[in-house]
Amino acid sequence: MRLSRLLLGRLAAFVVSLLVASLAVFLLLNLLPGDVTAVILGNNATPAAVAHLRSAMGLDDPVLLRYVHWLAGVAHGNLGASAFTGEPVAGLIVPKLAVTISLVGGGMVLAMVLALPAGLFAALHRRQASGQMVLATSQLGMAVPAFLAGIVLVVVFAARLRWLPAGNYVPLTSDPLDWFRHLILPWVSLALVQGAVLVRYVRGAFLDVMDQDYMRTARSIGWRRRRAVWRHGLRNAALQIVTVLGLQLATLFVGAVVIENVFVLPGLGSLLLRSVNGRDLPLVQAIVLVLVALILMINLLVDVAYLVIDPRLRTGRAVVE
Amino acid sequence: MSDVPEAVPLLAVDGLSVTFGRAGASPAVRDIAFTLSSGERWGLIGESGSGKSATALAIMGLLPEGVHVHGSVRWRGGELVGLGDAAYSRLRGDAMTMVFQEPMTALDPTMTVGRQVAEVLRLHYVRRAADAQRYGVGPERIRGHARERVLGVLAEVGLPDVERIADSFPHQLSGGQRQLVLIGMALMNSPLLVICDEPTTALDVTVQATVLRLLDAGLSAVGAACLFISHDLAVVSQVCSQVMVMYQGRIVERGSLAQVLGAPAHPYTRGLVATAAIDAVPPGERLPVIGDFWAGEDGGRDG
Repeated sequence: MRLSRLLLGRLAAFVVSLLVASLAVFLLLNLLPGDVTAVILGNNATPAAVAHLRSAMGLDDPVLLRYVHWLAGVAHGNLGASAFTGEPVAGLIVPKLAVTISLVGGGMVLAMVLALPAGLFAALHRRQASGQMVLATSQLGMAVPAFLAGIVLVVVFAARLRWLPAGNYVPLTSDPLDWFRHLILPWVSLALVQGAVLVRYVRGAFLDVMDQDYMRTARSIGWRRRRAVWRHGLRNAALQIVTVLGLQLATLFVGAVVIENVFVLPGLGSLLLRSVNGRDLPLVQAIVLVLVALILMINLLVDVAYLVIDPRLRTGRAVVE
Repeated sequence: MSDVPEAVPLLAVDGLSVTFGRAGASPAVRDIAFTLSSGERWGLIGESGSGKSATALAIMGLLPEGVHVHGSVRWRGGELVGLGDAAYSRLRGDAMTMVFQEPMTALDPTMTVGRQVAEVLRLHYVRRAADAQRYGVGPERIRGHARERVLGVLAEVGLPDVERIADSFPHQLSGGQRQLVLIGMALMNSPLLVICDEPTTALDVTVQATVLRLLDAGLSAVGAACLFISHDLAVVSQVCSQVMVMYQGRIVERGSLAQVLGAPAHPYTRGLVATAAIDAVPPGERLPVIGDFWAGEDGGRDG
């Protein structure tokens, strides 16, 4: 079937992009001046010791050969070892990834729950004061930095009212309820800012759709104004909204580091900052690769969503002559 | 129809003005009046910006928010100006329908044609219980028969291979086919009035002739009245027997087609008739333009 062929095509494009990106990441980080042996042995290492370690780590091999070795390792789930602790990098990343995905996933779901109805409302009431109020509120939300929102939430709900914990992370697998309680404030602070941005795009998408000819047709056959938007506007507006959601998600995997710091959540962004500061090259390399893979995966999901929503992308042209 | 006395026209427009933008801005439609009786077909002709489409949208109640409508539009005696969305929606698509100019964008691109046509039925099926009684089935049964009705109406407007058309998405059909689908939607519930706003302007000439012929046949079949908007006298004459000429928001001339074409009274109409008859111009001479007919007449131009 045509749809499955298109999906396969998207998947193939995903794999190729991932390979190209991994090569780029590897080359960039390995061609930088200074190498990992200096980090491991310190600045006072003897040239002989450096040379010995270099050959032991395979650093004297041609860069492409090293890339192939690294890639073969990655394919087997071996992302390398930390330059400092010698721990396998995969074991370091996976728990942090779980934190970041919990934070970003939940935050974006909450942002959508807030922003989709609010944006639709603002579009339907574009000429009324109520619609303008939504817009003004979102402006305010965009002006507040995420960390400030986080700090205020901690001060009010954790320090003052003592309703919720101020930070730290509890794995979902150890206690789901506690996981949830610990993430409420981070989710809210993420959702307030992201939701404020999203509201404007949702409003814009619906305004755009409401001006389309097919909405006038829908009204002319007897749909009432709001039901016409529901029936014929939703799918069409979703095309635009999905694009923005994809972009927001992609930037948040690193961007959430601010929230991670406020709420002492050991996420991927925090780990990346720490490994960059410590010049732990194998770790940086692995984290960047994971982030690239995540972002490519989001793009893949957005592409698939397009295919599901828009029949023009999944069906051929002129069938009937 | 039997509950309405014969004397009450289907549609009576009186003192209708439409103003876009701020109140006090120059109106697009200025104090127009006309009546349309059951089964009558009137052409409404005029250049771009003369207020034709604004008139049509005002009758359908589909002008955007913030557009000021003054005057009266009576539908079988009842006032439509200021009517609520709910009551208007019961009328639209059922007794009063409309076909728009641009078929390429007039259908929802994410939904199959068949489902969109079925909506016309579905939206009004409860109120068409009388219909159901006539066919000896309940309203629920009408809903069950939607697919057959959809295919039937697509065939009636002359579309080929109706099963495939119903299962197609709009982008898979040509402009002419899409316009026929939209005409089918407009005729489906046997309306009393069909408003057509330049329905063939976006189509090429051969398709235009076919669509006009099928529209004409469809209107006759359901016995609907028609208000046919165009800037093209030749197109109007294929569907209508009477015509109104609109210029700068006013109706400047009206009458039977023969009368208006034979002895145009308003300079704009004279220009329109002459520019339509380019066959009469000797080869080598300049073609007439509307402006030629304004010599010494400033009356209609003041705005």
